[in-house]
Amino acid sequence: MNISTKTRKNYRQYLLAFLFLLPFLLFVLLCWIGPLGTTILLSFSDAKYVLSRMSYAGFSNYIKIFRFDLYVPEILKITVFYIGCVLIINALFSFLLAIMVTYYIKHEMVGAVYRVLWFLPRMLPTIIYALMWIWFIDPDIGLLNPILKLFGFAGPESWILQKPFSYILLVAVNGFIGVSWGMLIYSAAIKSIPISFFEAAMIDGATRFQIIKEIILPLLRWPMLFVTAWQTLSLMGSYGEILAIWGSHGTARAAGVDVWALYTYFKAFALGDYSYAAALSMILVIIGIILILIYFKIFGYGRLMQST
Amino acid sequence: MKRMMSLWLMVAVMVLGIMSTISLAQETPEKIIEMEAWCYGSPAEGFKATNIDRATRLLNKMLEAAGSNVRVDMKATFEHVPSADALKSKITAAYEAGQLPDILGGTDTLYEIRAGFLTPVEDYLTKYEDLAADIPYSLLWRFMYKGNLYGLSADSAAHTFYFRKDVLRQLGWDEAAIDAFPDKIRKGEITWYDISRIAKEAKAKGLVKWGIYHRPNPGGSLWIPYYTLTGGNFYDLEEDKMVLDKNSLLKMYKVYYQMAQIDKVLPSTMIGTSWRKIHTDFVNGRVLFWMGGCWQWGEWQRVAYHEELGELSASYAWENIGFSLYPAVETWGEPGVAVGTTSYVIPKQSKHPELAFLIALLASQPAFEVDHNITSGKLPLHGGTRSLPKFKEEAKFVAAISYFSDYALSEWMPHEGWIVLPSILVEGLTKVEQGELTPEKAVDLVVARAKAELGDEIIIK
Repeated sequence: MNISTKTRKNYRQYLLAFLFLLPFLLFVLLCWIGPLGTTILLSFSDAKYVLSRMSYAGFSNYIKIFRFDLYVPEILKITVFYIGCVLIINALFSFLLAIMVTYYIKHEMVGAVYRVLWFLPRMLPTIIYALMWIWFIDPDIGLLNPILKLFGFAGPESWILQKPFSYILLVAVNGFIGVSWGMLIYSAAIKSIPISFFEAAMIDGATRFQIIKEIILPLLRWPMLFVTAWQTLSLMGSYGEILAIWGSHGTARAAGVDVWALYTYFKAFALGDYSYAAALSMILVIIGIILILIYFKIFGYGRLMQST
Repeated sequence: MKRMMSLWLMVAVMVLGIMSTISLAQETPEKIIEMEAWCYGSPAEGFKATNIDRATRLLNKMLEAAGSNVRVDMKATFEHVPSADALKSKITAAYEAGQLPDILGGTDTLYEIRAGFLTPVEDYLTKYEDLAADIPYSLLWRFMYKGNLYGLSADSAAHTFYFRKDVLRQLGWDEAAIDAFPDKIRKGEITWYDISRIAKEAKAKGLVKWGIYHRPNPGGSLWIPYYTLTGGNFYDLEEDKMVLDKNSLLKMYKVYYQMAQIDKVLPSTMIGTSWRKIHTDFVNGRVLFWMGGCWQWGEWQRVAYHEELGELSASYAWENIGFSLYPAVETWGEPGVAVGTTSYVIPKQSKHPELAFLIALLASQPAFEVDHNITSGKLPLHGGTRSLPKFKEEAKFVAAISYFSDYALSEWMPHEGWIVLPSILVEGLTKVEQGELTPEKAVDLVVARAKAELGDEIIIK
């Protein structure tokens, strides 16, 4: 085969691959790159109420965020607290849960049932999920306070408004829904470990804890990086359940659960200040990128990408 | 013979066909103007859209009588949208898509004015002012903004202070005392502190779970104590700026502090409570006082809040629920109500703005408006509506509160700051009610936040 034939063949292969990827690339362009570009443009504009009327405004929105917005320090603290606590549940507890339902429970059907049960909240529409929580925490008809009373704890009059109960609710609502996703990823990863590894370890007299520590944990480094990074980014942009439960921005602020994403939503859709909201979103994007780079360093991304 | 009969039959069919074609041609108008109206409000306000339909039919009859072949085909819809933000998003998206209807009813007029969605209508109002001759000037020219009129009042809603007559009876009040209660409030003999004391007594005796409820999110009724103290609201018309009177704000927060933290008749977690719980608790007699609005009188008779009766009957409501102005803050001070009007507005994208305005104006005519007043409990715009027999017989509640107009404090604040300030005020209110801040510190917080958000656009007195 001469060189030009080989080149033509390679070209055809690349073209074929590109054509197969094209729908996905178009999707990424329309749903991710396009909106990202629009958000960047908006953040440097003065778009208010409508997007069709805007002019260049330089860095004024960013200056306002860092110098003049009284709410930003408080919101930043709440957001860091929220992401930190929920990440522990989503990334760490989900790992423990995956170990339980995939490794400890040997019977596949039983394990599958537990996985489905944990996944149910995620399958519900956000509004239904929020409504169920509202009923659950209702001081008159809800189950939560009576259950706590059985264990000797007095629940608050209002889980929505009274601190620190509102903080606990904030973390529980989002943690409960996020843990299932991590559990699924880890479960799949554990299932993909060759059985022979476990068998060899057991023959060598390793305990279950040693197997988890020496075999499962190191082999799950890649899924751990993925879950931690994904969940961090997801939490940074999440506000749906908070808005559905706390109802309005004023209430969320009064309850101390006004996270960055919710504040951005308020600025955009309650006040029509799209350019300022875009600038707030871009801050999230930048922080997200920095965090991902830090995770790459911690988890040894370079080493993970090397061929075995 | 048979052939002759077939021929005559054919001719008869042809003649009939030609005649019906001619008559159809005569009946079919040459010009159909298609229009759309989107109306919003509480579940009891469906007549906002129904009256647009009726007005259109009336207009079409007039056009037909005048021999015109123009007809208007109006599609008027009504929807109850609990989330103001969701409604704003819908309207904004429709504007961006060039799909706003010809008439909007019951939406956030100030937001739409500032966003540039609306057509000024003062010229149309001047042209058709005869149709609005008996609407008070303050209601007719309500939606002024920088010299232009942007909306036509669709109705007038007064905040109403409700109380449970049955609970007062259990407290030992006789009918004369109960009947005199609204009048005492009107005269300034009963203040918020008296209300709190009465509520405390009822709660202590186990007659109610809570003494008083207020709305769970930012809204006009929360600030009425402030309005009655200042005689105005948070807007200075001459300066075209927001205004905050620290002393009046402090007195208002002290009222709520008294009720929530000292007398403990108001739940400290009132903000964030569900609307359903609020209505259910009051309608079922678990709360003595409710800082509500006149439209709820109709809502309670249309939504099944009562755990046994479902929708309240009118007789039950009259027997057990009383209503008055909001009390004064200080003895012999001024009671009051905030009066808000919803509007019909004409988006710029309407191809027939004058026609849309005329239909909206016709929709508020007494014969149509009276049904809206009866079902929604909102006050009529037209003086003529009050003299209709139907109004006197069936709008008993609205007739009973018509004196509120004399104590009305306007809620129209055509300044962008009014989109921001309520959140700040409710933040202060929540911290006061929860005991997190004293009223004095809450005022400092509100002033700091307001200055940061509004800068020179707010005057702090």
